[in-house]
Amino acid sequence: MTATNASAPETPAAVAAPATDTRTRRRPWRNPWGHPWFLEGFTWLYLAWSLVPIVIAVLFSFNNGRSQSAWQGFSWRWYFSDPVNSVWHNPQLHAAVIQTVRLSVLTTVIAVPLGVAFALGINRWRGPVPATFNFVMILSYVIPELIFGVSMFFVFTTLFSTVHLGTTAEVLGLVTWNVSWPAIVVQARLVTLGPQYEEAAADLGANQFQVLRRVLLPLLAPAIFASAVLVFSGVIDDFVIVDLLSSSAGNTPMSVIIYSTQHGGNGGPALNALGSIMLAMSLIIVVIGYIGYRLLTRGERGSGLTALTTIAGEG
Amino acid sequence: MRKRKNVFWVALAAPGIIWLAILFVVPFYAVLSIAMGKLNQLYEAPVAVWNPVSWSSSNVINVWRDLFGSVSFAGPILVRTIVYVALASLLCLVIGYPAAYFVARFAGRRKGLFLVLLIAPFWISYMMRMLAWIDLLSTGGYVNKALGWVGISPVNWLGGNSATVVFGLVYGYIPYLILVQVILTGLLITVLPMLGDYYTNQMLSGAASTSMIGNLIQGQLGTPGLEAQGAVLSMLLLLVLLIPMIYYVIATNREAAR
Repeated sequence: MTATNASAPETPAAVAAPATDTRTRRRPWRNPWGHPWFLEGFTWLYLAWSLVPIVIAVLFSFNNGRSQSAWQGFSWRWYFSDPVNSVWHNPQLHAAVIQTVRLSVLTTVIAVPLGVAFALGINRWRGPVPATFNFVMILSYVIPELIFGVSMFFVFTTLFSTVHLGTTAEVLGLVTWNVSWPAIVVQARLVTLGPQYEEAAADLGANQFQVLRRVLLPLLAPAIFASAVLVFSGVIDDFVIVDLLSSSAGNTPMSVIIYSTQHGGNGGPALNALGSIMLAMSLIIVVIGYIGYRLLTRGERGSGLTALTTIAGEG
Repeated sequence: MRKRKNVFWVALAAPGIIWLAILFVVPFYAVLSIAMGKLNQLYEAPVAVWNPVSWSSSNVINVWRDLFGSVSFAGPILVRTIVYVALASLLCLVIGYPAAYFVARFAGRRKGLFLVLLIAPFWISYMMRMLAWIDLLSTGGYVNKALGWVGISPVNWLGGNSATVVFGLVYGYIPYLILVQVILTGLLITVLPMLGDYYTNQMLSGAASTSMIGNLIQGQLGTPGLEAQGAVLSMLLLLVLLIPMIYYVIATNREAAR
């Protein structure tokens, strides 16, 4: 346990590090019981507990009936067949799907360039101003979402009340909340890259813009791409900010619909369908993110696991 | 030359800095100004006082009385929050640590598979994960069915059951702890969001008898006459969490630098 802690920190990429593995093999006397079957069984139980409920929930979104516990045959009823209560035909559910996609696209398009530029600038600019705002950026990354959401709610209902609660407020809040992903991921990448590529380019006569466009941005492409994936999927799953900043059915995304319809009563299988659509969206983003990251980092050292943990925000 | 170089990087950082200033720093000042502000008696709307010289402590005193006074209605909520979060974090640790330990040390060639399965909950919407348990825990759900097979009569899990709320918090936040290998930072990454959680509680219980500090704050937003108190509470929560937050930042930076 100390061995794991000392050698590996923080990231599951480090969980994947082979160091601990060889150590166990080299010193078998440290584990006199052989393979820890009890621990393995426990881990499988944990995984079952963590994932089987989701599988059941997805399964029952295809149930041809209202029950969540008695299978009545397969149907697309709750997705589009039912003329009233399906996700496709219920205007509120339909609007929620569109709103989630809209918020994800808008937030990603604004937050990623903003965060990447911030990371590049703050990495080179020395002084109290960049140091302060670098701290503010990290603070925005660790602050509990409710406290941030409350501040957004108050600023849009008092000081900036010209921005009414609704899509604009949601996008402004989500960008502020998510801009730390590109800012932090790109800064981490800049630190690993070091200054030598840029210095070489500058020695060969490239000016600032050329260094940025021809050298830095291509080298940062995997990090920028990974942060875009993180922001996009983060917005799909976001709840607190959009809950506090949405104002009507037209600007309420899927997560808030599931929450507000469910509590206090059974929302029925259409909600399971809505949740399954969210899940499918996230999975599509993960697959795109994984394949894209692997393509962008071709020729670099690193495994599929590194790609996976990076786009999960743990790399 | 040196100067022009500097201007270039300043220009790159500027949009992000301005954005954070207007939409992160100013909003917090707004909350502070409302917390230290006055109440418009006629509309029961909070009046922000922007000048610190004329700040009033009446809202803070009201909240303090609610929390610690002799007839404090918020006192039990505070105690409940601490108990729930402490229990849930402890359970997260007891359940999560063995699993993380196994995958880190003994998973061998199947490490990839285990990691994918451990990370999977991150990609599943929190609300979907809660919805799944609402289905299972409902009166006719699989949990009560399973209890029925061993002769136990159905339990009312939803609608005010403390155990369900703690269970929901564990289920909701344990993936974060599992992926963080250092115990203290792992605990922080579960404790910080749990203290601001109102949705887990609201979805799995919704009863006043289980409400936490997050529910209190969320309920005060948009409620005439109480908004300023919501502002005070969220500022107090921030104040309490500031030290753990800064510790978390320093600890993760130290780990990353290694």
